[in-house]
Amino acid sequence: MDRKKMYLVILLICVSTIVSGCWDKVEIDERAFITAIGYDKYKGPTPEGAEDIEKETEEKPLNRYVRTSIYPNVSLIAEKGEGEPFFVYSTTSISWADGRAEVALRDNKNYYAYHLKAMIFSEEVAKDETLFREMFDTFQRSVFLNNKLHFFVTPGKAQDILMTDTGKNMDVGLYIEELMDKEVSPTRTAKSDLGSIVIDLNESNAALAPRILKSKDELKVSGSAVLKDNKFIGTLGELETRDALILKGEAQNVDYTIKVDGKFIVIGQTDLESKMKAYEDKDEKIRVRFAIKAEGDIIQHYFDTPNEPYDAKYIEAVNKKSSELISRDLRNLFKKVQKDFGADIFKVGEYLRKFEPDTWEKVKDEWEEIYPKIDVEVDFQMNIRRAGIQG
Amino acid sequence: MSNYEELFKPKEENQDKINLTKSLEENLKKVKRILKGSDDMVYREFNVGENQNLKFATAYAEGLADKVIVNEYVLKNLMVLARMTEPQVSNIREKVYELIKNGVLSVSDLKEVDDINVITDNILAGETVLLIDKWDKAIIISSKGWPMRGISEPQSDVVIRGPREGFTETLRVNTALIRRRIKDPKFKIKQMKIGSRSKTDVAVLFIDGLVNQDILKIVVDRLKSIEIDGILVSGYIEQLIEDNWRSPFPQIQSTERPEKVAANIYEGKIAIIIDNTPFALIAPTTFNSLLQASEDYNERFLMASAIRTLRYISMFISVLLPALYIAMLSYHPGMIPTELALYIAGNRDGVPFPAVIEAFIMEGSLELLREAGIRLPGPIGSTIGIVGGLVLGQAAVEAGIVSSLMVIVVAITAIATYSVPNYSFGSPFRLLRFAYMMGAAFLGLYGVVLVFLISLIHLTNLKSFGIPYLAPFVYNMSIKDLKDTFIRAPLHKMKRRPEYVAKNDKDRLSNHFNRDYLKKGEDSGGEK
Repeated sequence: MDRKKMYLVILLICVSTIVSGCWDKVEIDERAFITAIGYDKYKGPTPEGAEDIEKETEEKPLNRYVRTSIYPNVSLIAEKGEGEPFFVYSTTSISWADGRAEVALRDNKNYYAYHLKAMIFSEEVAKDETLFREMFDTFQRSVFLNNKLHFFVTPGKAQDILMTDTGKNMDVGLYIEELMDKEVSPTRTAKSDLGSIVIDLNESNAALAPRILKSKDELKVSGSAVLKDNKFIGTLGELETRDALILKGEAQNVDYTIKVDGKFIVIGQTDLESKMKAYEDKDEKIRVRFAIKAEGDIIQHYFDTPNEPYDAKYIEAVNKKSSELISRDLRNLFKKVQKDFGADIFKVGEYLRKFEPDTWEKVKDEWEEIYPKIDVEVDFQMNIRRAGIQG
Repeated sequence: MSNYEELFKPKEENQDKINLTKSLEENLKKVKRILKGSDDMVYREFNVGENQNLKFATAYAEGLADKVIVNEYVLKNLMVLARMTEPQVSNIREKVYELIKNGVLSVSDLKEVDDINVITDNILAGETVLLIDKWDKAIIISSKGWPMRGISEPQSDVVIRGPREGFTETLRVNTALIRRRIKDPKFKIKQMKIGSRSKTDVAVLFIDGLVNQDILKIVVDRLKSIEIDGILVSGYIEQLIEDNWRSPFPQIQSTERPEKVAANIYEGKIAIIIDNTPFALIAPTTFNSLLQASEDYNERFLMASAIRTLRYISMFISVLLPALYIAMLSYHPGMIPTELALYIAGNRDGVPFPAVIEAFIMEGSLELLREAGIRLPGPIGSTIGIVGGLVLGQAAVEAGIVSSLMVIVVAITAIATYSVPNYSFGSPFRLLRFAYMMGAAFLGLYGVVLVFLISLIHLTNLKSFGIPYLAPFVYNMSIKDLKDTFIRAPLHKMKRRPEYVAKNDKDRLSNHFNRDYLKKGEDSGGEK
């Protein structure tokens, strides 16, 4: 009896593994490692066929997106084959899942998105709150998407960006990833990934996302897109983005060109520490104060200026002047974001909620109105530590 | 107090005793009848005494007994020298045994027996028997001496720095090798015979007062319970007395190195040496001790610790690597860094087999190659190496049958497998590897973890002579006991014997010994 039972158990184990096993087994060379996906707004087949467009019904929405996905030619990466560096599949779709299903009909490889590196929305898609929210909901729900993937907004067509030939024999997704994640990462575009954007939108209803442009045959990340209320509301330029990152304490290696005594001096910042503090003053006005400490080198002065850069007093003057100028720029940037967009990208509200709960209780309901009116004070302290070897 | 003498008491012989009679002829006839058909026996009858009136006979097995001893120290003495000693005629009949034993035979080891069965047993073991007319006893003269292999370097247990001596096929030589390392009167070598026909000598070695009595009792009881016709190699004993015969893991360590045996005896363990086999068995054995090489204790502790850790890692590699390869490639490519994943995908492009089949082909052919290489004579062996290397490596990849990464995986696995110091401990890993690969093939990483759990459950259940196999990781675990596991602590820090075996005398190194003591007087040393 005992022995019989044992055989039965063994049989059950064998059967259950063999019957249920292998159900999601896909060989690695049969997968399409999607590296980038772009979404554009669908605008109908052709202008003249406009009347043929089906009417949107209760059951079935119309095609809304043009979905473009690319994956690299792996044979080329392993130096085994030849051909295009990447494959592009474009389709119209009504949702994320629909787009995936449409491409699956045409692609011989199995869709696999865990190595997805970049997600690009055209501004038109990003401006449409419904589409934006539908997509972000999918991103957040999926366990097969990496939170670290880069989310971009592009003023042009996402499709064009994805089909760019980088000239380096690699596909755009990998190119963008290397570009964004390199050691000396660019400071003139927003540093945020899908995960952090989702968190920012949840916490402060505003976020910065990097922008990507295509000029001629080149890709460029440039400035940032301001997201608020789950849609795209405006852009910040490259230097503005840099200033925003300085306020957030996220831009370490930045060069400033400062005019001191009629001379343009270039200061290279090597270290940065930013502390934000928000509080309610006696007049029940909310104030926010940024205390930023920076260290830097003089990397450009004027040739043959004896003694000046090595004089403690002179350095002190440069410190003072640069601190003043940079503080002013930063304050202006904050005011711009505050007044023009009303977007709380620096998470002042979140700070109040965490550290000044009493104040937050009072203001949280009218935060949208209060935020544009709060006072800002920026105290940027530059400390030049090195002045170079020889003047 | 120790009761080991009690343990080793032989069982009651149920063999019938055949008494010797007073007639030499009759006795000799009986012996000859028992050994009928054994043409390697040599019988010699001769007369001794001034008047040649004392009849003697010797019997021995040719090839087993040392002829020099028989000729020079037995026959010559009796036939020639005996005449020089003047016997007192009156009591010569009564005292003849005393006379011969004390006055004539210049051999150190003599025994007196009165049973013909004992006589034949001794003849077959290489002793010489001396029968005397008109006397109902016989003398057994120790004359074992057969051609044997000299002590040479062990083949399976090689070290760079360490003694070059290895065990031989002769029990006595082997016990001597260990005795030379333990000159303690409390070091006991207890012998017994196992095998109703082979009558193989088996010695149990331990230090009285140090050994764990419970374990000793288990070992001896199990040895005694063996009733078999013949013991040929140490594996017989090992498999007959081990705890779990189903387990792939060896629960008794076998080694060719005397110093390894001695070290284990010093830890309170028990060694079993079997005649005719150059491997000593050590019990109890733990998982950890099978990953210790005797060289670890000869190296400086930093190096030894690093190597120990490496060995543990390599153990995991040898079991898990092909399984992880399958699981990652077939189920979880998201776990591989993107660039590597893309490279692997491209590399495998055009390979006709799924990763599972690929891995089985390659691992299978590796095992084939190993098996083929082991028993081939030297010159042909190298051919197999070259052909196999080409087939496994270059040709298979160039033909596109397997991916080049798989070749790397197989190679690393093979290297890792053979870095386990004990050969018989490496085999279970080779076997388990295939179980892990099956798990990975069916269920991916989940399957690997399942098989890992199953093997862990098995290992925790496993015992070697009452000691948990995973000791010291599972048994009264304390940091102190980890000093000789993943790392090897400096010798002066290892003051105690392993907690899980030694019950009695736990201190190895005096507690007063510390490094400061060595430096005493150093300050004034230079000045004088």
